[in-house]
Amino acid sequence: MCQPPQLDSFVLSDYLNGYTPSIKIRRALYIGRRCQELALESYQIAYAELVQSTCDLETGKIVAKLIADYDKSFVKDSMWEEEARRKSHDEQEDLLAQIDAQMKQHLMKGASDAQAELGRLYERMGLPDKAAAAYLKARDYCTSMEDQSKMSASAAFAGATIMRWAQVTNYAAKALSTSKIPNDPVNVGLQLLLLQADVGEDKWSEVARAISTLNYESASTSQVVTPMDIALYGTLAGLASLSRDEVKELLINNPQFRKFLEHLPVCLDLLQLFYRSQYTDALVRLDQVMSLARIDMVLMTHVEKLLSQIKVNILVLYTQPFASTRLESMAKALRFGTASKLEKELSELISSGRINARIDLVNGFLISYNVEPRDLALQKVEKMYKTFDDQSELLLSRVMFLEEETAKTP
Amino acid sequence: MFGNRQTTYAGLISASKKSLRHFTDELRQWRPPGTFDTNLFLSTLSELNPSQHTLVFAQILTDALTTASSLEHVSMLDPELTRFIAEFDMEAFEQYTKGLDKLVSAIGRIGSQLRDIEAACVRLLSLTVALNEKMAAAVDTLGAQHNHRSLDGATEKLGSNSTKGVRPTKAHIDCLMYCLYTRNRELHVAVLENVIGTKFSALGTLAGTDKPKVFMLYHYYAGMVAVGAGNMERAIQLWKLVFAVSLQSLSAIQVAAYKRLLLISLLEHGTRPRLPSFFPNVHTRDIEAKAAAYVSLAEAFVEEPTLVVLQRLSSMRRQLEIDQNLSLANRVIEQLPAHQIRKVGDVYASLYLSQLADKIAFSSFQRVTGQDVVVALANYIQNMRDPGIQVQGDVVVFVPSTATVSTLPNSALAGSALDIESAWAEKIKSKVAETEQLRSRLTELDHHLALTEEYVTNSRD
Repeated sequence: MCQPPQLDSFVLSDYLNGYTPSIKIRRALYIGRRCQELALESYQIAYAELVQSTCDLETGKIVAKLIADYDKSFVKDSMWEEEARRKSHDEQEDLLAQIDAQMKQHLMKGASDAQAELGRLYERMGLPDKAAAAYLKARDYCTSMEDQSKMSASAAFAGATIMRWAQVTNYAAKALSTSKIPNDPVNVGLQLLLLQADVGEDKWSEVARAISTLNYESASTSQVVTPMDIALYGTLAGLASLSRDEVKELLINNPQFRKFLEHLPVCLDLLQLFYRSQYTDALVRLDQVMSLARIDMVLMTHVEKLLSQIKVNILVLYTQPFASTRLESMAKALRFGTASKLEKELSELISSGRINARIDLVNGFLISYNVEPRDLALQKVEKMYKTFDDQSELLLSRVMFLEEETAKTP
Repeated sequence: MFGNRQTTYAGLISASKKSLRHFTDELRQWRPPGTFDTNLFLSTLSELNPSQHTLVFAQILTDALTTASSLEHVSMLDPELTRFIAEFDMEAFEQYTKGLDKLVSAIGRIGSQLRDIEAACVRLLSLTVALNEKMAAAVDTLGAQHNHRSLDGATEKLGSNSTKGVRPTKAHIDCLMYCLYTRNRELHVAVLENVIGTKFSALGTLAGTDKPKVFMLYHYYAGMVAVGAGNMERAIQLWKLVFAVSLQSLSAIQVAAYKRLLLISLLEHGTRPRLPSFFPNVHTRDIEAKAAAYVSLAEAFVEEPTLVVLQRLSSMRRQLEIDQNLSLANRVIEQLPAHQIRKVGDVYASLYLSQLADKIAFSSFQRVTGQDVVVALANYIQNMRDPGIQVQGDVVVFVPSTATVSTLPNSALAGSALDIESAWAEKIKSKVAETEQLRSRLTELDHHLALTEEYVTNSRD
């Protein structure tokens, strides 16, 4: 469980309004499960969207029950349920019959269109798996590359609803490879899907670099990955994987990305504080940003790892300018609580070679440790010589053995 | 009577003068004396020239040693043995290797019977050194061994150096074996310098036709001798050579060598050893499966806390006893805190003894508690005699040997650095000749393999 986002003027309904109905419902349900304080509101938003845009009876029943747990006066919409049941049943029957008829007459275009319609029906029924399967069948019936590309794109979008990133990557890439219109909104949407898949698979460097190349005008209309999402993903991915200079160049000084950041101003503050090495304040902003990340269903499995990675980066950057620094003041500046927690983190980073320093535990200092390049070169030579000596002896013995083994006697 | 004793060996002597075939035929019917006959042996030997009658001389020595029943008998034979070692003709043994093998066996056997292993080892050492000298001298006389190659299609004679240069013999292997029996450090050092220190030019067949086994066994024993001499680095190098031969399946010698190599590597470096890159992966997996307990111990040694390492060790105690590696494993465990302390030194510049004891769980190693742990740890560090780790009161200071650290004095002077560099330049220069030799041998091997039937028909296993 987590707290609500600690952002100024965060309104849940505004946050969710940017998404497609199916994604809005899933995100709302996720927030309801994760955040007790926002649970009722998110379930209500989900239910309203279900009634308005879908005929997903199963999810409707579950959400109604969840709302009733919080609000005893809630009454579910029985008329909607009845109508949704009838409509989905009738439409499904009609479409299946249509597909059958078209197939018998070998009218592939008709069958493909009907299959695609069936896919859209399944999406409204809250069955994204079946929807994706229907789109792929429709693709098999398609008679043109363009139609195939559209069906692949639909399958990718269906996969994104349930976060099947491998499926998303596969079909989005196929759709993009056959598409001929570079700035088509669907293509931009697919590129954003691929980006979201990278986020889902915690490829932060790829995410940061891809986001830095996005065009605001074409990307801001997406309802699968909203501008606020792009600001959030770009900021977190940049802090986790880019150097200070890259953060400045690719994110802070990037006019296109600055437009995305306007949707989430705290991210711009965070990036600027990070760049200026004002780490204490940066960590406060980071906490705020992470509070939003914790209710994002795409980031859900990566939040702690991401936080840890960013804190490690900050720790490494903090130590770089100093010849020595007091552990207590460092722990205070980086909000570590106690010097012993900081010491544990530092010892791991020193062991892994990310920090060139030694801990003077007696006097409470971290001391920079730089080996003379000449000494380092001599150490390398010594090691290389030893390896060469051993390997050449081994090889000589092996050659001697092979020579005698393969020798012929006349 | 005296005439009869003389004729006991007269047949052999006259046969050896005719030809080797006559000698071996005579030997086939030969019945050695049943008891030690001082007059017979000594008088016959005194009249023989070892260089002209090498095989007969060796046979007489063999018979004498076989029938000897006291140290006094053996000491009577020592002067003749010494004379033989100084003057024997290597060519004779090249033609009839069994003569040498029997003599070597007799020397070793009498040492075991009379419980004078050290003397047996010393005799074998002298014999082995003499063999090396004579084999090397034969090459010098004939010229560089590689000048005799001729590339002539199917009749090409690559590998003809297998009959030239220093090659292993039964004496080499038995010398190492008996050295191990003695457990005498000085002897180990002597054997390491004089026998193991001489590299083989070829394998040949003097030690037997099973060349892989000869090679592996020799280097396996040699590694053990190096351990006995206290030279762990050399032991590691020698045991790695056990894996230089190419076999179709794994050898028990390689498994045994790997187990010891692993333990010594942990002792010396605190890390697992790497097998040669050309050693087949499938054999590497096999060997790790057969030495699974050792691999598990090594993994725990590198990554796990002390308690886990001690638990692993106690769980494999029986296996270590069977493999006769228990004392080596105990030495490895004794070194565990030293490696852990050095690892701590990679992260810390200084810390209190009590903090260090906590970090490396020294109390579980020493089974002491409270202030005793700190005292025990201080003593342990003092005994390590590592100038990079100093105990100052209740504080441990890690002094980096090469780093430029702002709070510590910089001891790297310009002059000493230049000395180091010039020393390295010399070392590298000396390696150039060896590199050139390696290069030329690889080229010739490449030519040879391209002309072999197996390569042409692509039917090599």
